[in-house]
Amino acid sequence: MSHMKKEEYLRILAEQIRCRQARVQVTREIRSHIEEQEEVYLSEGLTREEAEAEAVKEMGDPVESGAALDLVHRPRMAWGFIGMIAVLYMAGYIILNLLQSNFSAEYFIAGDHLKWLLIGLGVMVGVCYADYSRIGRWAREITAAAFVLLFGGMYLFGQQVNGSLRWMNIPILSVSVNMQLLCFLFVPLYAAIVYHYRGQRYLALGKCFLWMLPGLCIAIKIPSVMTVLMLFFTYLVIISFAVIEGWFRVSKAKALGAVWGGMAMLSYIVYLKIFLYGPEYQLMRLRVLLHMEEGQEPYQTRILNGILKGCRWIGGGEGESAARAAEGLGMDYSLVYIIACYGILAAIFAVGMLVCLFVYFMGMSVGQKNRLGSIMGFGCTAVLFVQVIYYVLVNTGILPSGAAYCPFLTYGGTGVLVTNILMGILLSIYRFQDVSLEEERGDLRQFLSVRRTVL
Amino acid sequence: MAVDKSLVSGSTSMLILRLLEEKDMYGYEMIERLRRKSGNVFELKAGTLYPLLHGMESKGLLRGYTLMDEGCPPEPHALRSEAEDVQPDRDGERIEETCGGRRKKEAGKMRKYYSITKNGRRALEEKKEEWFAYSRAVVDVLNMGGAL
Repeated sequence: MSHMKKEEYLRILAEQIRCRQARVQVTREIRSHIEEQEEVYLSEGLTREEAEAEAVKEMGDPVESGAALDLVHRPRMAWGFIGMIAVLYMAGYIILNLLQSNFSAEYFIAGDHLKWLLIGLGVMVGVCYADYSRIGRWAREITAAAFVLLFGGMYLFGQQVNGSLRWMNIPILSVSVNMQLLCFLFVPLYAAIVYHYRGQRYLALGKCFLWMLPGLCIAIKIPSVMTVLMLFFTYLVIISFAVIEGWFRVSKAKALGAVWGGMAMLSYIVYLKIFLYGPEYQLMRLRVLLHMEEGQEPYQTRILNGILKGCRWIGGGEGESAARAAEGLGMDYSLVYIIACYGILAAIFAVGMLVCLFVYFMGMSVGQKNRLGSIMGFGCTAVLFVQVIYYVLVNTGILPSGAAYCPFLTYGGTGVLVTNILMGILLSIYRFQDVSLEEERGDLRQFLSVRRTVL
Repeated sequence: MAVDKSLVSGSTSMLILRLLEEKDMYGYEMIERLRRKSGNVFELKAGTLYPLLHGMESKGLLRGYTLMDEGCPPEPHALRSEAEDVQPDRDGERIEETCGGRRKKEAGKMRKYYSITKNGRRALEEKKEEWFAYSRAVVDVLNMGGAL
């Protein structure tokens, strides 16, 4: 009887494993085991063929082992997760329609929202199947390409409204995308870039700071101060996560001190520039926005205070009539209208649901054994958290409205797409959590040179 | 002594956890160590070991990491701490630093090591308690005198 060769054993074993991504890692480990055993047999005086045959025989049945490994490494689709997201979108859709019918003067939702929700669902599943590790592996190239495309696109197709390039037309599709929201897609890419620099020292930390620039430059180009601040804050949180997890060979205290101390210093420089040396109108504008000028609160804050004053814990109170009389708040303030119409508890419940979901995402991300998945998931969840926190602060009148967007509760195609891309990445991380994906990618130059040779 | 395999099959994961409690190991090393420690009683097949290891890793009882082993006998603590902050393509260089003057038998072998996690240690304690209670009960019944 002819003995099974090592390669044949590995081929049969790999064939049992349905998840393509898991095969490489598993066969590498098993190959290493067989070779280890072969060496022992060689040292005992067997010939190479005999040693290989004996080592393979020691392994047992490749079908049985492969099937058992397949059960461990099968990609898992989080149907519960998808169901939960679908329920939240439906709940958001119903709430927005109710608000629209109650407050017809305001703008909460349009007829094509359902179409965007369905497209968004497709995008989410598509990103999930695309496998986050591929996105992560090419994060630097994707970031650079996205920067060039968006920056060029803003020049060519940017729509200037009140001096801001908040919207960009996409010529072929004849749709406009919201640049403020699109910027947040740089965050999971940024998280993957931080992952690439793991194991290095302070210089790598510096490079991580440089990689903040593409996203920040787009936000500055709009210009949207709130987007810049939210992005910058999210980036710092991601770097801090990596430092605390010990990914960089640096002193944690020193690195965190440098990151957040640098942030404080930068804020102080901006403060000095505006408050001491800036033009008078900028100073005044900021003082009004930050409620530092007595009796000169912004228009929105005045309306907001009027609405919130007459609200009750449960059900619509006097706030509801104030909301009907008000004009010009609209969808950036959905929570305020929920409070006016259904009471404070209803708004707390809505935000609570979102926070619970995001805490679940955060827990899942941080607990990932795959570090790329861990940091990309952390980045995606950080974006969702920052957006909701800002939305709540705007709705309570603490911060002025700039780029207020609440996942599931704000109408808009770009918003749905951005949220669903982030959710798709999270789903993908969940799907491949038992698949080891920590492979070093091929170098682009190496890839191109191979392509050239083939051509 | 030949032992009925069904006696030990259910407790293999406990034995693996116990081995890894001592130090981080790769698959082949575990089989060898288990065989030697048990006086050739436990001869674990690789085909059984790897699905078990991967399953335990999936449950969070173990954590796997790949290291470029330069042939030094693996040192658990050094390796574990290296695994926390060293990226794979720099591992060779780092291990060389930690190996010092110890023996090198082969160059550049990539191995997947496993280390026990906090959950793994907890599971081991539970399994050990179960096992001791069970074995005490068996011994009590076997040694009982008189009628039931």
